[in-house]
This record gives sequence, C-alpha cells and structure tokens, in this order.
Amino acid sequence: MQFDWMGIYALLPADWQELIRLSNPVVLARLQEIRVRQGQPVLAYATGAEYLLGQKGFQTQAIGAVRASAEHIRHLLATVSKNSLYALEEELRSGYVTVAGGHRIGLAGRAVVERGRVKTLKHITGFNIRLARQVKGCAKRLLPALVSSTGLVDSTLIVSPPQAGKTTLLRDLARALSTGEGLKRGYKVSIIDERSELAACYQGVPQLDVGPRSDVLDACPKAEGMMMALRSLSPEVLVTDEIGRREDTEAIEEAVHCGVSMLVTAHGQSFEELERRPALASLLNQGAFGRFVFLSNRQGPGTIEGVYDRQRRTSAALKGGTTLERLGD
Amino acid sequence: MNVWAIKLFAALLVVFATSMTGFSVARNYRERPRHLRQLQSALQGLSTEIGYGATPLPDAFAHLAATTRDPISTLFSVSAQVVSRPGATAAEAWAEGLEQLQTKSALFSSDIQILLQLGSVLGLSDKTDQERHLLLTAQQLQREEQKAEDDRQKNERMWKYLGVLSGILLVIVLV
Repeated sequence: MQFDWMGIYALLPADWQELIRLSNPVVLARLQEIRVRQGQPVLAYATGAEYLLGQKGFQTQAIGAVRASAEHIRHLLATVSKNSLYALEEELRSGYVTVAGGHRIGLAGRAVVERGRVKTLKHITGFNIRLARQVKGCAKRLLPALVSSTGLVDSTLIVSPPQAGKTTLLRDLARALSTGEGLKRGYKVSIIDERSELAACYQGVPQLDVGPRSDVLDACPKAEGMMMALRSLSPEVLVTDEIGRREDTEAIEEAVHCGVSMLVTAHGQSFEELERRPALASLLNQGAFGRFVFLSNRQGPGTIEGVYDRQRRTSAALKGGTTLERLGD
Repeated sequence: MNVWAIKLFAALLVVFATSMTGFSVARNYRERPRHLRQLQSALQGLSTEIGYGATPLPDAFAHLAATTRDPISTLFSVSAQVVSRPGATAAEAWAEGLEQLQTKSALFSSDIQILLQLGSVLGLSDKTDQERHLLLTAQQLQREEQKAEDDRQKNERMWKYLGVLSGILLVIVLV
C-alpha cells in the first residue's frame, strides 16, 4: 500500500511532525484518517483501531496525548487552504478541500447561511484528514467475472455496507478496465466523481491512478455528469459511486439504452434491502444490471459475499467468502 | 603653506562628514512618509487581488512584488518566496518579509508592528474579512504617514542645516 504520506506531512505543525515520526511504521502505513479538533486530542484511525497522538507518535494509551491548540488549528487552516481561505468558497460550501496527493480534508466550523443555503464556513476548528490510498490490483480476481468472453463489460452494481472497500474496489475496476489489465484491450472509461473520492483530483488532475483511458468529471453531480459524459466523452464504461437518487436512475437507464456499461456502487447488504429503495428497485426491475457484487467486512474490508447475474443466480466465477487480494491489509 | 593645505583638506573632510550625517538623517525623515504611502497603496492592491481576483496569496504576493517599487517590493518578494514553501504559513512569510523590509526602508519599528499584526490574519478568512483587515491596516498606516509628514516638515531641513553647521562649528573650534 503506497500513498503520498509526505503530502499530508507538510501540512501538519512542526511539533506534530516530530511526534508522528516516532510512530510504529506499521500503523503509519495503514493510516486511514486523522481527526483534529481544537482543544481535543489528535486521533488517527487505521484498519478500525483508534490511536492518539502522544509522546510515542500515534499510540493507543492516553498518557502524554497532545491536544490541538488554537495555534495548531491556525497552522492547519493556513497550510490546508494554501494561505488563501478566501479563494476556497466553493470548497467551503461543500465542506471539504482536496490537497495535493488527493487527500480529502473535511472541515467543521460555523456555517454562514445566506438565503437558506450554506454560503461558507467560518471559525473552522475541526479537520478530518482522509488519506487517499489506492490498492492497485484489488479488482484483479473480480474482473474476469464482469467481462464476458466477447469482451463486453457487464453493467455491475457493487453493494456493500460502509467501510467495506467499495470505493477502493470501484477505483481499481476503473483503472484495470481503462488499462486493459489482463484483458484483450483497454476500455474508454468516464468517471463521475462527485465527491472527488474515486480519482482524488487536485486542480483537475487525478492524484490516483485511474488508467490511461479514463476521463474524470470531478466534483460533478452524478446524474448531470452521467448525461454530460454520454453526450461528450463517448465512454464504453461509465463509473460512479453511491447511486440511489431518482435522477441517478434516469441517467443510468439512459446510459444502458445507449449501450454503455455501468459500474456503480450502492449502500446495502442484500437484494431485499435494495428493493426497498424506490430508485434502485426500478433499476433492478428493468434488469439494468447484469452483475451484482456484494461486499462485506466479515473477513476484513473487501470480503466478497457473492457475485450474482441478472437472474440473481450465483455466478460461478467467484465463491462467496473470498477476500479480495490485499484489500484486507 | 603645506600645513595649511592639509588643514583645509581636513576641515573640508569634517564638514563633509557631518553634512552627510545630517543629510542621511534628513533623508530618513523624507523617505518614511513616502514608504508609508507606498505601503498603503500596496495593501490596497493586495485587497483588490484578494477581493476581486480571489488570487491565491502566493500569487498575489508575487504580483505585488512585480508592481511595487523598492524597498516595498522586498516585502512581497520575500513573502512570496517563503509562502511558496510547502507547509509554510502566511504569518511566517509575512514576518520574514517585514524583517527584510525594515533593514531596507526608513520605517520605524512601530510601523513594522502595525504590519506584523496583519500577518496573523492574512489568508485565513473570507474576502470581506480580508478586505476589512487590509483597510484597517492601511488606515493605521495613513495616520502614521500624517505624523511622519509633520515630523518631516519639522526636522528635514533642520537636520540638513545642523549637519553642515555643526561641521563648520567643529572646524572653527578645532582651528
């Protein structure tokens, strides 16, 4: 697992940098999230476990834990905004900033509301730093189950509860299809990345590898983005994360009618659960998807619970209970 | 004859030295209001960059470094350089720029203090807030400029005369 840890490092106050250097390297390598709040201990999360920043780096004991001072917060605000908070109006409205390296930093503060809509954030005192990480090759074993012998990609719905690796899997599927890894050829892929999570674009350039044939519509609303991509980017595969709204359904129907394969994800655990959501139920009824992949956390992130075809029969390619390679690290 | 020539030369040297000292003090009185005035318009420029252009601070500093005159441009060129380093804050950069500015300008340390306060808020709030802070600082500088102008009128000429005359006096006493 590699990620641009240095990109985050440079943002942090110098005294924290020194402490973090003392951390167990294994913890650092698995770090997913750093949470900073004024007056509170600095927390980090790695594969489900919680750590505090203290005299031994990220540690489990509360002794010697450091707290974020107003000065620390000011430092973070300066570095995260590149000293130009006033230039980040759009980002503040959406509540997060993407920095070089593709890491996403969620912000908490006081909302300034104008005409019933959030205009900007003021008095920012909370940072949730989510490290962008890519698990290249994690889709390798799944890929053959999604591409038919004639080279057509089945429209696939990846269903999983949170933190089970669906975004990571989706990203690698997009990368593998775009690269043509283990396939006869590469596919033209369009990624609608509403929350800048899939490609982690920084100033429009993907910070994570999404393949050489991928176009990314960054921060673009999903339904609108799917239509834009269909009109102008001539994709063979359309990739987007977390569908479930009405307008998404229409866009997906449109795409399927155009003969474009969809690769999408949704929250959930079972067909029954999906059918309770009207927008998804109508897609299921129409047979928009040719493959369903269910993920869970049972044996760590990326446990495949089952792969099903259009008729909801278990696909022979992958048995339930398989863990996707390296995703569980 | 030879001795008188040396004496004349020495006398001239003394007058020249004291005059120069006087002129340089006078020059500081003349330069300070000018520097304060230039700073005000530079801050106004920065306000425009932030308010209308939403230019990121490192770029805004660089623009101002190019459009202001020495020694004010030093402040912005140094700040632009420092703020572009990864992990640097605007406050650090601004402080470093001001340090350089102080050595090159006729500004008092009280003037530098006013500017230093601005550093802690630069870039850390929305446009309106930034504009307000910049305006406030410019107004403070304007007040200082008026005082500096009064000082200049009182002291500039006096120090020029004082330099020359004290030199002549010294020569008379010594001869």
